[in-house]
Formats: sequence, C-alpha cells, structure tokens
Amino acid sequence: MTATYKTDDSFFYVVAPMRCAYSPWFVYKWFFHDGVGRFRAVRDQEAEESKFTLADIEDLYPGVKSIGLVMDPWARAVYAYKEVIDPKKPESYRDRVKSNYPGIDLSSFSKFIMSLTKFPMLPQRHWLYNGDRPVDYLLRVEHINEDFKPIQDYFCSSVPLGLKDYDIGYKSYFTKSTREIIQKIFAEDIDSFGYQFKDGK
Amino acid sequence: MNILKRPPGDQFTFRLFSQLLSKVKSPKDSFYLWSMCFDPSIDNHFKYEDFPAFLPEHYYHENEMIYRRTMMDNIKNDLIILGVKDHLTSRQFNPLKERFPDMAIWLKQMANFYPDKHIILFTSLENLELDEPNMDIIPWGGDITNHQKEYLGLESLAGKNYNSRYNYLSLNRHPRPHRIMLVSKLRDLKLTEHGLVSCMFKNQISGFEPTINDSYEIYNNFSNDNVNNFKNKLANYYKETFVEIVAETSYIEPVFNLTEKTLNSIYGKSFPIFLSSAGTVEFLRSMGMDVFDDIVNHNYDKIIDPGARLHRAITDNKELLTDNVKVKTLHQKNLARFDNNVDFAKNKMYNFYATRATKQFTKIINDRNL
Repeated sequence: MTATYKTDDSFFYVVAPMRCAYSPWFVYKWFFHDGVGRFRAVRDQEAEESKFTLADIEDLYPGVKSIGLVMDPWARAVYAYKEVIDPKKPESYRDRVKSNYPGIDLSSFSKFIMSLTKFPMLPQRHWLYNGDRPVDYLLRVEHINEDFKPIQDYFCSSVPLGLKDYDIGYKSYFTKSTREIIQKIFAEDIDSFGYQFKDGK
Repeated sequence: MNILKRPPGDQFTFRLFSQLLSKVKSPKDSFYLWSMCFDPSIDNHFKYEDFPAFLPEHYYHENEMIYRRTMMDNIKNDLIILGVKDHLTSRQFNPLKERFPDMAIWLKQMANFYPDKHIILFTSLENLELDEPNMDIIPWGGDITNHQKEYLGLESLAGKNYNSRYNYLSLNRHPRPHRIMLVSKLRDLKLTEHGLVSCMFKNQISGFEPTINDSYEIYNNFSNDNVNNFKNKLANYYKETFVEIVAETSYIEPVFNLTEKTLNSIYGKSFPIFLSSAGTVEFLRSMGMDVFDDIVNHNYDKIIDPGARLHRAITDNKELLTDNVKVKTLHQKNLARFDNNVDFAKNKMYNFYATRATKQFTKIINDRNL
C-alpha cells in the first residue's frame, strides 16, 4: 500500500537547482494551501538562499522526504539567458552577472552557450542527488502537474498545484552546434532525468 | 514530524529537533511549534498571499483550536515529542494566582490527558518543572538562539563614545510589569538623566519622559529582524552608554526565556544588569559568560521577590549607573573581556545549548530504550 500522511509522519523539503524556472516557493505555496501539507513542509531560509544540495539537506534534516525541481537542460539554458538579458532587469544586474562570471558572453544566445564551455553551469544532478540516490519526488517542471500527483495522493488532497506545466519553446534558439554543446555539458542530467532535445517547437 | 508553526529565524532549534528525532527508533508523534499555537489570546486572520513570499507560514487564519485539533488528530503513538519555541506566558497570566506560566499549565494538562503516553518536551525555558511522571523536559535554549546565522555575521560594537554624558541604556518596548516597575523606579530614584531610556508605554508613567523616542516600526519585513535593528538603531545607543539594564522577557515567573535582549547587550559591549527571573545571572555564569562579577553587583539575582529584586538590582549598582568617570574608566580597562563575551556568544553559547539538549535527550532515549 502506498504511504499516506495518515500512516507516515515524514516531512518534506523542496530542492531546486540554480537557474530553475520554478523556485521552491512555487511548490511550498501548495503545501500552505493544503490543510495537512502545511504542517509537513520544512523551510530553511539559509538552505534556500544558499541553494543547499540534497546531501546538505539530508545532513541537516535526517529522514526528510525530498522533492526536487528539474527542467529540460536546453530549456534551462534559454531560461538562464533570458533571465540575465531580460530588459526589465536593470543594467547593474547584468553587470553583476558579468563580474561574477567573467567568462560568460551575453552578446547573443549562441555566444552565451559557447561561453558555457569555458564556465559551465553546474548540472542539476549536483542538487538533486545524494551520491547515487535521487530526491524522493522528482518534479519535471514541464510535467509538474503530472509529477506532483503522488504528493497529492500522499496527502489525500484534491487541492490543485496551481502551476502551469512550464514550456519555454526553445527550439528556435539553438543551432546544431549549440544544441550539441548543451548535450555534452549536461550529459549527466540528460541521462539521469531522461531528457532529449524537443524538435517540436 | 508535524510543523505547526515556526517563529522567524529558528533554524538552530529546528535543525536540532530534526537531528535529535532521527535518533529515536520507537514509533512517535512529533510536533514542532511556536508557543503562540496554544496561546489562548491569539486569534489571527491573515492572508499569506498578501505578504512577501519568503517564510510566510505564520500568515493565515489561526487560533489555538486549530492547532489543538491538529495535534490531537495526529497523536497515535505512545511517545510524543514536542519542540516548543518561545516563552509560555500569555497575556492572561496572573502572577498573583499562578506559580507557573499559564501556557505551561496547558502542557501539564496535556500530560494528564494522555496518562499512558510518554511526552518529551523541548522548551525555550530554563527551570521549567511540571512534575508530571510521564513528561521529560529538556531546555534547548531560548530565543537567544534565534537568527543564529545573522548574529554570527554581525560585527560587535566597534567602540564607545567616551565623551558621552550617559552611563546606562534601558530599552523598554512591550509594556511588561517589570519594565513599568523599572521605569518608575528610575524616575523615583532620579536616575533617568544618567541614561538613555526608551519607553513605549510612557503614557502609563506620570512624570517621565523617555530620552529615546522609540516607535513600533523597527522591522520592515514582517519578521523579527533583530540583527538589522541592532545595526541600524541599537548600536547608536550602545555606543553612547556603558551599562545596560537588560529588561528581559521573563521576570516574575520562576522560569525564564533568554532572548536577543541579552545577546544585544553582549554585542553592544555593556556591563549588564539583568532584570530577568531569579537565577538568570547564575545560569549565564555557568554557561561561561563573563557577567563582570567584580564590577556589577549581582546579589539581586538570588532574590525571589520581584519587587525587592528590582530594587536591589538598581540601588546596589547606583554608582555604576551615575558615576560617569568611573564607568568609563572601568569600561576601558575591560575591553578584552567584552571581546571574550562576543566570542562566547558566537561559539560557546550555541555549543552549550546543543550539547546539553543532545546529552539529556540521548540519556532519555537510552534509559527508556526508545
């Protein structure tokens, strides 16, 4: 029989890699809407701000059930680029990124991807695995409603997650070579989380 | 584990609770909560959507009944472990009628309600004894442990103004009885001119005008941002003064919850006179803090009667509170000791609380084979 909150007293922590389209708060919001879930969610300000990994979290909170947010590595690259060059963000933000990551070229998306070979983003596995063991519940942001169902079942809850499945439509951003760069840099993520380049859009 | 409600900045005890729970093999029901969950005077109606996204868990409709029901619905095993943050004294506490804080009585009643279950209670209070055979009590440090990360990054006061005309600092915000008594005493002994005194309840004290104009708007992020309050505001007062009359949260009760008020005094490098429950100074001394026994007369600490204790705390240290030349000379001579206390606050204090709680908890689970 699948465990539910009635028979299991676990508590839950949400881990999100850096540059993930959805932050932990997007998921915690559901917990605080749910009558039972709100008593089972762990928030740790330092851990969230400092982007603690699954290993860090399990060290601090032995026995915690972990929920990890993961996204398509190609979509993540587009998301990361758009986040930095977003015209709504002040110029100082871009300057700060440039000074923190001097190897990054933000003059175009292709150059940005090519510069990742010199200063790659960490793979999402870095946050979502403790050794060879992944988080207990993996939420692919592109299928977040489907992947969240086991958590709703655990809490016997009909409260909707209230999030849209994430779709950035990234195909047009990539050339053959930039697509392959992501394939190479994030091979570990692609293999671990079963992603492939979406030709559809 | 059920997390009923958390106060801001509680990571030290929250993490400790989680780590200690993992040592228990027996089936258990565990609850981590802010004591306001069972404060009979709380009835909040908040919408958390109206507030900034971070750590909003304390913004929704809540009252004592909601939490009581959640606890009772989730108690199924013979072992109950409670981690309770903050003091247990509600506004309804009447020190003339009751020996223990009223919310501690609630816990006592809980132990009676579940006579066949064993309860382990972690509490922010020192000296809490409820005399219930099915309840073990483990103190894990008061609110002084809150905002650990922020305090560890806080620079202590760089230096005092030795040209200041003020001797002492007395900060009085929430109108607790001992603070009202204190300000009245300072007024009656004509000591107010020697100090920087704030008083948010000045309308209740005739013939007194505070020397610090305080306001309630010290926190701008819906959280108890004690560290920024120290940096932006309190440090200015500490710079001008050399002694602090630390009016802690607990005073009349025999149990006490040490808070950021004591910590701020350490970071502000002032000689401390503690207006807190009897035995507070002895406790701090036993933890390893230098309470400046050779400079401050702490004989008041043993006096049980609240009025007499307050009177002695002030009158026995009158010279320190009024002799401006002497207090500055003493301060300059003892600078290294203030630095040692900051070191104590940044390191030994957290270790003391974690080690003591772990040791007591481990003994209980070993003795009871839990």
